[in-house]
Amino acid sequence: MKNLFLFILVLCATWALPVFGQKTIKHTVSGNVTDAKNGEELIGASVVAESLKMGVLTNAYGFYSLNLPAGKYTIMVTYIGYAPIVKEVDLTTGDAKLNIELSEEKRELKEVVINSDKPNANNVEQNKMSVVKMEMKEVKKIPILLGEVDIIKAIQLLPGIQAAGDGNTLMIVRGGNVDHNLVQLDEAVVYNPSHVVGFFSVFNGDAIKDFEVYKGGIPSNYGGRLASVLDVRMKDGNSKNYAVTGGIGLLSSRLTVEGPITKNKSSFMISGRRSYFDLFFPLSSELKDVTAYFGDINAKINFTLSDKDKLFISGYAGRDNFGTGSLFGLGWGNQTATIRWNHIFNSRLFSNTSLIYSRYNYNFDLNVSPNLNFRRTNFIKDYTLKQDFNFFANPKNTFKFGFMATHHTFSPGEIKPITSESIILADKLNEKHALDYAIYGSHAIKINSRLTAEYGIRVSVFQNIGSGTELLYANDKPNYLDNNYISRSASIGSKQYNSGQVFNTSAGFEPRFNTTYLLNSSSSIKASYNRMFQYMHLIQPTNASTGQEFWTPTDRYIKPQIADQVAAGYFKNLRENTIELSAEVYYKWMWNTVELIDNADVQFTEAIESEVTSGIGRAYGIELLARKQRGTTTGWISYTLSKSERKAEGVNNNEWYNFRFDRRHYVTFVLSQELSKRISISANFIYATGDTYTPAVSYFEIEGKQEVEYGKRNSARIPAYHRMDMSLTLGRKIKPDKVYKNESSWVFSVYNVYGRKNTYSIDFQYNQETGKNEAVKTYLFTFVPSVTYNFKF
Amino acid sequence: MKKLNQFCVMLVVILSAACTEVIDVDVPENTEKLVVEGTVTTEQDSSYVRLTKSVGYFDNSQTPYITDAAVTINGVAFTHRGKGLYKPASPFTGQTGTYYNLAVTYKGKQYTSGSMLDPMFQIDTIVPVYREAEGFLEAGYTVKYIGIDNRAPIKYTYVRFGFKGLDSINDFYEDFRVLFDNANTKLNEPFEFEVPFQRLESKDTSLLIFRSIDEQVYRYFQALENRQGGGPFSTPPANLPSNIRGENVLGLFSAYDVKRYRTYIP
Repeated sequence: MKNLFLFILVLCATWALPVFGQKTIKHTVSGNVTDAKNGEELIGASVVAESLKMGVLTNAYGFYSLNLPAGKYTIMVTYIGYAPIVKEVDLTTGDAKLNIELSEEKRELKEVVINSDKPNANNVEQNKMSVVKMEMKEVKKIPILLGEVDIIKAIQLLPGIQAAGDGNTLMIVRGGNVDHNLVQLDEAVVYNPSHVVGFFSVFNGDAIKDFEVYKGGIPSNYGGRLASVLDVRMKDGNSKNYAVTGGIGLLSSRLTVEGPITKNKSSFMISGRRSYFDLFFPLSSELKDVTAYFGDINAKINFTLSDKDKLFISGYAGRDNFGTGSLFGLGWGNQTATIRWNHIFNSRLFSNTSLIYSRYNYNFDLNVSPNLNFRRTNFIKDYTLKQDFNFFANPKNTFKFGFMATHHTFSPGEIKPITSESIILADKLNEKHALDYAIYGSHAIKINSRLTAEYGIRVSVFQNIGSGTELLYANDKPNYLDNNYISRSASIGSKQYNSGQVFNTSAGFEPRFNTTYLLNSSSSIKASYNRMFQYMHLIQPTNASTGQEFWTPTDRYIKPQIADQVAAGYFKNLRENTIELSAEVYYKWMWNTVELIDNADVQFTEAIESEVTSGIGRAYGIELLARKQRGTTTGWISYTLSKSERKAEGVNNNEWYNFRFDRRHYVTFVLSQELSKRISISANFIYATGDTYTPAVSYFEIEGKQEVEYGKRNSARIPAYHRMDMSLTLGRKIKPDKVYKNESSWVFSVYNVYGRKNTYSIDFQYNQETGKNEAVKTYLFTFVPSVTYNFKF
Repeated sequence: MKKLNQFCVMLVVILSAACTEVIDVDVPENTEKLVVEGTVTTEQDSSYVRLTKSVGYFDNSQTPYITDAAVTINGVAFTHRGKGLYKPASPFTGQTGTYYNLAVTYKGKQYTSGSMLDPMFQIDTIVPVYREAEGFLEAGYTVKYIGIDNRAPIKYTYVRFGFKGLDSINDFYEDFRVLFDNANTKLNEPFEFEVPFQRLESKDTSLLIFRSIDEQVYRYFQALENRQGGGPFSTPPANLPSNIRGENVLGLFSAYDVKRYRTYIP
């Protein structure tokens, strides 16, 4: 395998040589592509010199650069959902700056696109596979649990990305664990993207401009997780006009205000959300003391400092709180902040420098009595410096390179008494610190009119640094297999390290490769390979996200997780690119996966390395997708056939076992139909093979009580999951010939229309009343209606 | 005080507002296993070994007794007394600071285990305490016990508690246990602990049983506590970590010092 990649790298480097040998006089046209209505930069818009059929895509900041032989050109700019625009540019004497504003497409009802040319063939032509990109408009059409627009729930309807349980926002991507996904908001890592024990995501649909998910073929500028990258970008804020957007729902509401600070030069956006289902609790005698809410706020400002410099400052803060009176409570929150500086060194070299802060914390409070109470907290905190460069050498060659450095602080746990009389003593597990660096480089090349490739390398280094403590064990083994059970080794001592002292280093060499071969103007084949290293591991003691899971770093005992993934696909567009078809196959190998041992005890445990064991994994599958993104009828059908397994010493008799969320078949159907300018309906349907569970085999008696003996891990399956959701969107009455400044709509939706009691989990219990053993299923959501009023003015 | 597993169990119960229903599922065929339950205690004549077999999960039948096994603990023969119960022929009392070895021979196969009998720390005072209603708990009495734990760490303690009403005939014990260790307990300082989630009435009798247990037994009961709850917030199911060695065997052998307290609530 290694030799193959060496060969590919050498081959690509050979292709790249002509970049540096050209003598033709060339000039560059560069600029930004923005939304004409609000000035938001458009990410991934296609900018093409028509005569040469050469083009580029705008980067994450809406910037593009095309280096062309001297001459006059017609530049065509396209972006999905926007009317294409054609501009003339003169590059005979020198470089040109060309900022382009695109306007949203206006459509008539009969699926006739009135002011645009044929849609582009990005699905086929772009050298990207295993990537999911959706417009927020499309996300907002999808009926979602309790009417809260949610990007994560929308992408879970696409092949290869699945929910970790009914209504859950944690993702399973191509058979990976929930912590194998890098979730970023304006480049800051969001460690727990969930509200309300996983039923809502932290992403407020009104504050999000754009997002993209990579489930394979991950470019070298991303790293740190095995399975996927969800890169979410906040809106910059309307730089042309003030705007207020909001929604009032049964259980939560949101409000966004945005506008120019200086017109076309600087803008702001602030967006908040809060649930208020707790307001209804006092009506119930059982729930009157219960606290349960979530809230979050997104804010961003940006300034155009000069033609070449732009500054963005953005932040997010979210909070969840649950509890019963003063008896107990738990809560968690993410906070992120990003300062980014875009600088254009010249028309071909774009730079972005980011300073990023991210923190995730949780608390658990218990207050049984004045002398029995405590608060347990933990957190993870990062400071990151990132530097990215995009060099647009010419339309055939683009280079990306850069570096990042992060300082992590992990506080695995701290207990403090709430009152001074409490018998619970204050205690704190040792904080852990780590440095995480990476440098990367990639080269995207158009080898000829049919073949494009991108190859890259990421070199990552992770270091445990002081101040810190390392526990020591006999034979360096924190646990061992004894009598078929994993037993914890007793620590034989510890080593203390001073502040800043490096005491353990891990490194990874991560090659990445993507290639596309155009078969004809409407079809292509693509292939990709990526190697990923993951140095941070989520320790999740329960089946669902309760906020109590925590992150732990790679160290002397817990090795970095590694994955190799290969994927190949066939892409085909029909009916002038209005229908996109794709078929992808993938195979993923995983090493050093972090698996909890049986009966792991991870609550306030110093020796977390004793509670986990190292495993291997394999995941493979086929994903089929047919998608229509334009017209009055939009949606998609997808099918995934997949398998994901794990194997770890001391678990399941050392035999391969099914991954907890291994699902053989996964079918989704999403349809949105505009019935008139005012009314549209949407529906989606999901069918999935049931999740795995560990079955009971026998019972036995100890101390007069029946206890369960379990069989092989995850060897049985819960019944198949399926549900249909529907929604009806009713816009305001519109009179022809009248221009409306305000928009409003009512959205009525129902989650799980036919009320199927989808099994969430199965537990084996002894029923004292009947004296018999039972299998008891837990199910969560059946027929959940909601109504939301959305407005914009 | 390091761990308070039962609190998490309560959390699970409160958060699990989800719906449940009984369903039919197929379970794998059972391979019958020997089940060993052995205890050596510091109370006279309370040590025993009980031998039974495991039964298919939905068989819903009585677990079969093993009546023809040879059982010894530290060389002392335990003989069958009926219903799978094996007791020593002569008076037998566990001694603190002693390691006990269990040996069972059944149908030509050997099963062994071992457990350290550590002393329990002394409870000096037990005081009834009145608490107002809090959350889902009504107003009522609980008890606070105070003692000094000067045992070298790490020692593990198992507590069960219950009550006997004024007119009740039998003692009632709660299903769950409090498990803790003395990793962070201060030497020579009184250690206070209040029985959690208990509300007794005046004239009830509070019941407390303290056992010193070894680490393996502690892990077994800890796993048992973590099994409770079920649903989305439960830990992944896993078998209880038995300390019995041999083929196809389940169960637990525990040597412990035991202290029992009955406190009348005036």
